[in-house]
Amino acid sequence: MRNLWTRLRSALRLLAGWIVARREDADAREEMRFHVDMQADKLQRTGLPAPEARRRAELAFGGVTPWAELARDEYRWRPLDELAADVRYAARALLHVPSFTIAVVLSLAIGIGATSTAYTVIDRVVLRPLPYRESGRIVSLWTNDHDRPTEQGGSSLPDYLDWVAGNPDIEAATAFNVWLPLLGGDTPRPIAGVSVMGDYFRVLGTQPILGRTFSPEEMANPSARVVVVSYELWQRELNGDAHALGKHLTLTGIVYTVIGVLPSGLRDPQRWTAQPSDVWRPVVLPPGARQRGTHFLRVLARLRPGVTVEQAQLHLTGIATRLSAEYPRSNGNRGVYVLPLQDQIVGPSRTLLLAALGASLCVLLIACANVATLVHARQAVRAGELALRRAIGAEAGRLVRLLITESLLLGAAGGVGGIAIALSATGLLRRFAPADLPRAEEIVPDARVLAVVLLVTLATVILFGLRPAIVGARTDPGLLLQDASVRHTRHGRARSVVVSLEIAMALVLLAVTGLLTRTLIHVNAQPLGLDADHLATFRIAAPVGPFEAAGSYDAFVKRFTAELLREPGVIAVVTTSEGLLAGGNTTFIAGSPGEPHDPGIDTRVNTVSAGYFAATGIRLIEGRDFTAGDSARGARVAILNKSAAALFYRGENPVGKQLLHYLGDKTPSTIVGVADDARLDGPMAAVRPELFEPEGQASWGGSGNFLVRTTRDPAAILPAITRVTKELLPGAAVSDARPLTDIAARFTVRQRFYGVVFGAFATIALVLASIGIYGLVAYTVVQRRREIAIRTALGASAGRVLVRFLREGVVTIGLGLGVGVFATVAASRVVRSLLFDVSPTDPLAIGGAVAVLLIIGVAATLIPAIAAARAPVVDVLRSE
Amino acid sequence: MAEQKAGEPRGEMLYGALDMLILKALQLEPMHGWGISERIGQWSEEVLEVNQGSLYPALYRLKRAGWITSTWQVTENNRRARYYALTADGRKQLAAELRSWQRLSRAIDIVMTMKPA
Repeated sequence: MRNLWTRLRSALRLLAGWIVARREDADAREEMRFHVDMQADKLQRTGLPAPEARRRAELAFGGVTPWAELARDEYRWRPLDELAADVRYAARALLHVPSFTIAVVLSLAIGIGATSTAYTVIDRVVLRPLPYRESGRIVSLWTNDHDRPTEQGGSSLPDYLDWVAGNPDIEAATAFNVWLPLLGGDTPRPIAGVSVMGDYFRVLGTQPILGRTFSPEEMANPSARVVVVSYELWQRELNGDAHALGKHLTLTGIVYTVIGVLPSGLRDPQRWTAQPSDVWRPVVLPPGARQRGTHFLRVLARLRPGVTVEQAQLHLTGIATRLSAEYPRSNGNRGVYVLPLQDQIVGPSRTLLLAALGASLCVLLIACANVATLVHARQAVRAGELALRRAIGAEAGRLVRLLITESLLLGAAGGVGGIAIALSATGLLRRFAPADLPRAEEIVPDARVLAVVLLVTLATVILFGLRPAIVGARTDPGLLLQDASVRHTRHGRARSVVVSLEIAMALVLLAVTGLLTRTLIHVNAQPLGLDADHLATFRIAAPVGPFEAAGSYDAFVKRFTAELLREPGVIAVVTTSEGLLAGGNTTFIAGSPGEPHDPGIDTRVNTVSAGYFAATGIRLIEGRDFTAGDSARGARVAILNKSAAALFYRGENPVGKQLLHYLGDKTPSTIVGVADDARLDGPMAAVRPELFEPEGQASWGGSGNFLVRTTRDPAAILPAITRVTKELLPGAAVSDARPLTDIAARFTVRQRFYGVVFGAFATIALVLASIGIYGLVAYTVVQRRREIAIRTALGASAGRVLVRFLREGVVTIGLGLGVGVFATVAASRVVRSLLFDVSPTDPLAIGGAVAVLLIIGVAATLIPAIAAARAPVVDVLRSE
Repeated sequence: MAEQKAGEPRGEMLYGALDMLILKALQLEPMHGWGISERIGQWSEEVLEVNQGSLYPALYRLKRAGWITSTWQVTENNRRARYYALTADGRKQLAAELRSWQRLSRAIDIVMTMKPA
């Protein structure tokens, strides 16, 4: 025991000594100098003159420095000492060849950073389960059409009840809809919320951290005015007060009582608002909501343990079929589509993210290949230097250790760079991810992944650097110093294969980027059907009170419109219930009054004010626009869009015909016009059949979206809008005010995001591949400069020498391009979901990528070749 | 310092017993490195000549083992020097080394003075 303790103390002393080495060193030297001084003094006292005494004393001592060095072993840890020396030496050696060091470190950093980031995103977004309890059991239930079985349509209340009542597969179910209240009394702020019915919180498996969720009585009676709030709102508005329960929140003028607080990080699983939800309330059913044809709810269910999605789908389809038979008008063509929530949220992105992961692996491979060849080449070049060192007596082991240290330093530097890149890339992604990249907030770099990737790259560096090192250290120096051109040729061939593969991978990435670019161009060229350049949109939300004070909502809108029209540049102000990307999934079954048993057509209903079509620039194909005469007192009228007219009337002119707007509609309207299709869901989505109602004759909700047509830039009008709103309605808030072009940009956000991602990878791959080609050719040139010089001396022209090298380089490039084209055709399918009007094998995109690579590749080949051809023959021959 | 005379025992033989001699030198009172070397020289009547530099690695080794400690102090001449002192463990070690030295030297003695039969 004592021995152990002594040894431990001794080891600690050594470590401590190493840490405070400088101080110990100085102390030792001082002590020794004292000794020498004392000895010198003693000798002086025996009569020797001072300089002689000192000389003798120093001689007798044996020299302070050597003894200090020897003594160092006793208080410092030797291996660490040597390691420090090795590191310093290796660092100096690396700094001597800056281009090599930078190339290797950069390649490593990029490879590690890119791969770690891509894998982190995949892991967090796709692979990890959702943050709900046993999220694998949560499914969405959508209303679909028999012709479109994967359609995700909203559901009606009676359908929902029929699906879940007594269903043995379902443990708990809930239906809900979006709620956009204004928070606060004086300066209200728009927030996002959810109106729920059923067992919302049980389906998600969430327990409130404070208070409770809704009781059955509160669910049945929404006038109870209770809300559950999110953790974030609780912190923001209620100061995280532990006694927040029972406090009041004013939402759109109505006072609600807070009865519960949810845990942090709970996002509502549908995410159709850009803001996360902050409040939940029992659902408030508007009139007409109980109709079977009114599809306005989203449904989630938790399956019982042991029930598979297929089983649930089968049973529900059975129920839906029964409903189709019982209610042919509303449910005739309709069924139910069961989609696991994980797939719902992540699904559309899964393939793309996996493709991005593939791209980053390509980049990593290219980076590693480059690094391997660079390191290998360098060590081969240093073979001569190593041989020389061996010849003058350096130990082989020490040399190998030195070379390993160099590789480790490179690896460490690359690793640090890679971590930095991963951290900043994930940070950027969190901030700038497209709205539909699910769970973006969870993207935090994974230490595990970083470690794995780091190890992989480190292994590459060491392996490729080690072999020539060991060979160099062990082989007889004499052999090494001879010209070993055979070895070089074999290595050169391997290198050119590697470079070909690099080019192939770069081609794939470039081609994909090209496809996305072409898609963007196509999409932007697609007309939306309305005049987006001159339109601005916004919503006004206010509690009921202020509207009542202004007379009524309609009176307010009249005054507001009149005021706004007085602003310079404003041509027209209209309202609509379905804006660009602002509409929900609410559809109604419309049909002709004469055929009660035909399945009706799901149409989107848009309530618009007079002059809507003139203001938005949507062309009227037949008939007329709505006028002020089409009010609540006038005859009921409607306008159809082109798709609806085609579906209903198949080529006949529908003007003058009659239409029922929804199931249970008693009064048919007369169709007075047909409008051209406007692509409210974006240029890439199919156009929906649409039915327009005039403002005063709305059958569903009111129109909340304003559209303002301006002569100048719509963005310039926004401050005026806020001002006029505040003047007329002090308690109101303007929300979502922006030019329509901004919203239109959101349609292509995914293409742009992935375009940037693939573009980045493609650029990196291109740069790395170019470095690879350049390195390969330069290396070959150096090895064969004797041959070149001799040929030139024998009369070959510079041109012919050039052509030789060019030919070899082009063969490598050509091989790479060939393989690359095949790979592209196979791989580009993965981005098909992003493409619009562009085939995954679009010849223009692929051809363009080939051309770019060819040009860059040939340039990278030419530069060293030209340099070789120009090198003065005499110098080369003389130096050999 | 005595000159090396031919036939006299050489300083290098000292090395194995250096540790023991240092501990013995410090038995009386703490001393700095030069003082230790002087003391050993005096006591042995200049027979044992410690190669002066080699003292220090030995001192540090003994310190690492925990048998001596060191402090910086000021000498009578107002110079800074590092003084070494025996620890309790050091004293025990000294006794142990003395015992094994005595055993060793007696054994060698017996062998060397043995008369051929």
